[in-house]
Amino acid sequence: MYNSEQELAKACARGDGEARRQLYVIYSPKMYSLCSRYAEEKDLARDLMHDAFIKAYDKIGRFSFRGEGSLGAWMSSLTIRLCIDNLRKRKKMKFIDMDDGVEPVGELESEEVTGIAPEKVRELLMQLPPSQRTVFNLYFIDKLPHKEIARLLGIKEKTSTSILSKARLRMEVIVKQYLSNNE
Amino acid sequence: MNKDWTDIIRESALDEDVRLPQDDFDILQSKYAAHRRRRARTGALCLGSFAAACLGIALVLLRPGIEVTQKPVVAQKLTSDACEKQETGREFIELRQLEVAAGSIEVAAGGAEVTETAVVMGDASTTDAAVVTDAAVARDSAASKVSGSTQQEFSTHKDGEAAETERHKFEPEEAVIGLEEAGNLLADAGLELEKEEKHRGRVSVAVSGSLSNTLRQNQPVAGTGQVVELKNAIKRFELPEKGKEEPISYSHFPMPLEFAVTVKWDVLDWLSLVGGVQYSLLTSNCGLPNRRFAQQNVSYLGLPVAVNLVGRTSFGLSYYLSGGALVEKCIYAHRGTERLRENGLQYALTAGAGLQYDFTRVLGIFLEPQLDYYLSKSEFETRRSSGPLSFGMSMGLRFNL
Repeated sequence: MYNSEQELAKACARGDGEARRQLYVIYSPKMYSLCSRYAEEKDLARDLMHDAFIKAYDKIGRFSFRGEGSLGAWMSSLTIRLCIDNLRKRKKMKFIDMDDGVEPVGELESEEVTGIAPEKVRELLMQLPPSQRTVFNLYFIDKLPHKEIARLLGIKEKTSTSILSKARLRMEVIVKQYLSNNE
Repeated sequence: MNKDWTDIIRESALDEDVRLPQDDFDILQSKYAAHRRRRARTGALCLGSFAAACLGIALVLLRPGIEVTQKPVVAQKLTSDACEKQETGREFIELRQLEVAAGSIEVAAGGAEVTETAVVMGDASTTDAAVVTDAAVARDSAASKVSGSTQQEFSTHKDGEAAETERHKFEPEEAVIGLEEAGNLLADAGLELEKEEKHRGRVSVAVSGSLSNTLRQNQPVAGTGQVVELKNAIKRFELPEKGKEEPISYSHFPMPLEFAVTVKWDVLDWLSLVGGVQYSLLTSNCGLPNRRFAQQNVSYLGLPVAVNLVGRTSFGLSYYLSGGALVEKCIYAHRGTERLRENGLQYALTAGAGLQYDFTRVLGIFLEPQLDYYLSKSEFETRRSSGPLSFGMSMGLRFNL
């Protein structure tokens, strides 16, 4: 067992099988959860997670340790890029800034959302269109700034902001609908 | 500070309890092993191609500058009948070997008794030369350019002394007339010159790459499902009824890529034979059951053969018509992580027209649009499936050996 991220990364770069297993054990839940938010099916999410680990094993030699948590951040960044590429390859995303006709239903309160189970949250997120879901995930959950989102997706910052506001509006509608159906 | 509802969503998303199957890591291990094998194969192929290209270039560029040919440039045998036409009544002279080396021309001629002067005239910078066997003809024309000492040397044989071998050395500046003029002189003397074609027998190696496109596009096959093409060209796969098997659908076929290494043999100045090895990669994006998506890659290794009819112009430009055939075998195929196999061979007829420009005697570039007609149908759904006829553009470098 390796006690620090730096040692673990170096061991993986050397091709140590145990180190790779440890890397998988530590990060697979987080990466699978991340892939599940971008992929529509569990099988695809698993494939993406595997692809991300394969890429990580190949490229971990180039990882430079920058403090505790940097390995996790590196793995997340690598996985997010893979998920975006997959969506792009499947031509699932159209970043067109146009009105999608969703009417606002009133601001959501945090207390309303607190009781929703995590699996349900993911299901509700899946109801967003792929482009809106991607931007929503990247901004609110993966905490990337609009500049970074725009660079990743090949769009303008303004487009990212606009899509995010529409995604937020639509998510409010989806959550309110779910809550009213389950009262 | 009150949290925004998006913060709660975030906490829920990150807290989700994820359960992966027990054998998930083993599956990952086998996928990684397959990935490394694929990378090693690709690396070996690239390295091998690079090494072959470097070796080819080295062989061409580093070979000695001295051109020596051991082929008889002129194999004209003058029979006694032909000789009788001449005033001198000479016997025949058979030229055994013509060597052009280091700027001088040395002729070894043997045969029956030499009763006439043999003068070799040609261009010392090439392997082309002609033997003008009529001293009178040679003397009356360009033979006057032959140095006096050489003429005198010949004159000693005019008395009909038998000589089994004759060797005459001429300096490059003394070999002054070209092939055409030598031919004219011989024609005047009633003799025919069998000219050595400049390009005949030349062998060259080419490396090329090409992109191709099927000429007639049909709807992609989707098995029992139905593919509907919307106005904005998004293909949507309609799921079949519950209980029926979900087929595989194909949404996108990038252009096939082909790379070839070929050897061309110039049988005649206007006729070449081409053979070699060709690698083709066909990619398809497909939808799998349970709404998963994967990429299908099919690699073929082929043996193309062709016959070229060649026309040449000055300035190093040549053009040709090509016709031939191609046999291919699938050497590797996969759809996502699933390995596929195809039995049997693929056959195709090929036709093309090309242009080649030779920068130097050893290096040229060529461009060849080509039509391929596939006689057999592959088991895999690829870009070729929508029609047997495809149009490709091939471009490459040719190294003359």
